[in-house]
Amino acid sequence: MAKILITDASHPLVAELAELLRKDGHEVFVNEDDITTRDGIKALVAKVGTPDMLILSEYHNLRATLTEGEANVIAETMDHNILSAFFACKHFGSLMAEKGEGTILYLSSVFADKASGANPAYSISCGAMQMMMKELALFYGNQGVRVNMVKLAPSAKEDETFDSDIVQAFYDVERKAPVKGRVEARDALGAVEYFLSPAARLVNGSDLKIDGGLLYFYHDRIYPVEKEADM
Amino acid sequence: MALDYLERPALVSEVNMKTGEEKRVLEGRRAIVTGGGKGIGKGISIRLAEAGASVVIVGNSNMTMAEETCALIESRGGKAWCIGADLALPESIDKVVAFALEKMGGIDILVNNAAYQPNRDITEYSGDLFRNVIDINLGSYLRMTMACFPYLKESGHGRVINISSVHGKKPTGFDIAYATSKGGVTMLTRETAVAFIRYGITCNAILPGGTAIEFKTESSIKGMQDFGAHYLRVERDRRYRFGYRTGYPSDSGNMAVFLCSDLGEHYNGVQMRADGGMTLF
Repeated sequence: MAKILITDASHPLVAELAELLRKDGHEVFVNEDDITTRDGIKALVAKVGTPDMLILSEYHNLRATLTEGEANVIAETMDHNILSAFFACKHFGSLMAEKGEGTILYLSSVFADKASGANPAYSISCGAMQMMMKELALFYGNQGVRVNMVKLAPSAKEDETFDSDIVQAFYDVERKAPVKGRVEARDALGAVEYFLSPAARLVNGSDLKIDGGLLYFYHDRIYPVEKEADM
Repeated sequence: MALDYLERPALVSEVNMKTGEEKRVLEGRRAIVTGGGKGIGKGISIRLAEAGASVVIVGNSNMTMAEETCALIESRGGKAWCIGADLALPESIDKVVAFALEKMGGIDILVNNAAYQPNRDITEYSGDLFRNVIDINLGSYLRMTMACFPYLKESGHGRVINISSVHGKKPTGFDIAYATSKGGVTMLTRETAVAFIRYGITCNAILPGGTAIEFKTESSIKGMQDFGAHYLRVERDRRYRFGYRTGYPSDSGNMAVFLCSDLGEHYNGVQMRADGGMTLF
């Protein structure tokens, strides 16, 4: 069974995901501290050592639009996620590379590809971490460490975080996605177990969408579904 | 050898198909170009001016080149001013916007172009250097966009152009902070496009590939020996054999003119590769 470190306890699915992983027999650490400082990351390294899997669940977010929000606060929120992921990958990635094996998984969001309209600080950081993931897939891949990303559709716990009159992601998830439904921890669990398994030995630099096909569906959301049925 | 920024053709005018009337596509528009004094930014500044826009050029590391670019534009009958500012510092943003308003009376076009590329892998990056790259390449884009928004809204044809890179799609193999920042620019572009659409403002990104500029930013010795850099050189050699050429600053400049003009009004939130197909190989 694997030693797994999850970097940000504030992600809404992480507590349940950690429990499910423990039930599967894994040793799971869930970080609750700020690791964007030298002392913070050193303390976590001392506590955890070398994990078999690093799950980056950075989830600092801020409901603030680009038209009305405060730029510095948005930038700081965005930076927190990016820097936290950078420090975790630099320190734990190096430890895994020394060992010659391991896997890094970004627990990201469809908002790495899709504008949120409500939480640009989070989506911009997801976009940044998507390129960080690809870069590290090159760098760590030839040292035995695979790096990948999962992009989750919004869960039922995220209405307040992402609801937007422009994008309406929740309407999209429930009405537009070909396979409808809110993402749950068990959906993320399946991805984690897959990326840990030998079946994923050549999977590196990939992004796995767990969104029911949402990102490929873009028809007008206000098309009247009821009338559609009458036609 | 000095680059000749006037060598390549410029997109300048549009024609009314019914009346035959011809006009410069950016006549009377007012633009800010960050990092507009050299390299790709210079190519953009010159072509925006050639198409009729007034330009405020924001320089930092080489103000002499920014001033030379202003002089070149003025020598061709255009209007240009330059200001020095470290855009990694939030307090610089208001200074730049105030300067642009003082000189031009408004802002129709913002080109976020300033960037820093130290070429280091993750083990070589300190937290401070990584943060600095993110602050310049991504933070300044965000702050400039939000600071210019009230004036772009007044414009009636506001445009935001984010100069990204092919490394906003494909990794570099030698600079994690640069690629990370460009990935952030991709989503900043989409968020801006969505947030500003109701105000008639578009936001698009241009993704240049390898471009001939005066000089590259610093490269670490280890970075240059890295397999990624080596792989890139080998790949480029292969591409040249099949007709690929290095990009010119004018390639991005002409694309910026098109996207900023009324011709480009239907483009919003897109990532336009200007790489000669390099990333398809």
